[in-house]
Amino acid sequence: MTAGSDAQPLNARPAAWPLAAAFSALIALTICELLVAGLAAERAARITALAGLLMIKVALVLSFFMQARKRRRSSVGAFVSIAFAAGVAVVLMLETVFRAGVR
Amino acid sequence: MSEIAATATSDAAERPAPDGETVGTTGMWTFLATDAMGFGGLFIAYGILRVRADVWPDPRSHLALVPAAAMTFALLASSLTMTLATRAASARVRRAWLDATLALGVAFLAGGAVEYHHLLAGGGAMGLTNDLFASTFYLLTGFHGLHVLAGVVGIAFMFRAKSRPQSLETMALYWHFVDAMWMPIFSIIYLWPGR
Repeated sequence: MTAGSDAQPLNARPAAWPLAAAFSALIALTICELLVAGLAAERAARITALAGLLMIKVALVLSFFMQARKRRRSSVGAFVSIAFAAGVAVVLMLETVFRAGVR
Repeated sequence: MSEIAATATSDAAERPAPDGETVGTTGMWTFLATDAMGFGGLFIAYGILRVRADVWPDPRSHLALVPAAAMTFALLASSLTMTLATRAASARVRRAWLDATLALGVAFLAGGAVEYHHLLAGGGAMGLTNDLFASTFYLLTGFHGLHVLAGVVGIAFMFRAKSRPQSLETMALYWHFVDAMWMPIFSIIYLWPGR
């Protein structure tokens, strides 16, 4: 059995509620981002929280809107490049936190 | 003989694979992979410049957060309407959702244009070469804006061409990608605090 053999065809009409839930979650996460940005917390903590919220939002779009889970074959290439960019961003973020700590 | 081969190839290209793939969606994913690396390169450049800079201004001292948040909501809603368009059962409903997607895309672009106008023409004008913050802001938002513009033109073209649902599926992939790329721009440029 292959990894994608249990996936439904994309032209099958999926239920609407997962899409509505994903959209609601994206709106809620964006509001959370705005609230976190306005908090009087430490700078590094705010950046870490915002980076976490950002990753969840991108994952939601990839999973529910782009249906990447059902398109394993061709989405792997895009995932690798996105993961590479995200990995470098995390390294830079950690370096920023380190530099802020040194100063 | 060659006509038969050509017809067979065309049929194979149109027919979705068991996992829902067509030649169009596979090609679009390949394009998105390269485009993601382009955005990734810009994000890396932004990160390096930001880390190396001695001072980085707080974005809220230059940028208005409420209009940017409204643009974000418009783009999120446009992804929803685009998905609903791909799932629509009839051509009339599909067109209505595409209309909404187009309107939201144009609203996003209009919001960006108004923001640029305020930044460039306001009292404390933020020129393209003022500082690293300004340069990277215009580069990233401008690059993304061009992607949105290309998407809007593509959707408008789909109205005229009366394209097949498979083409709409391919266009939707691009549109969602543009939506996904706005998320890091909004978070990193507009929300991450300066120092």
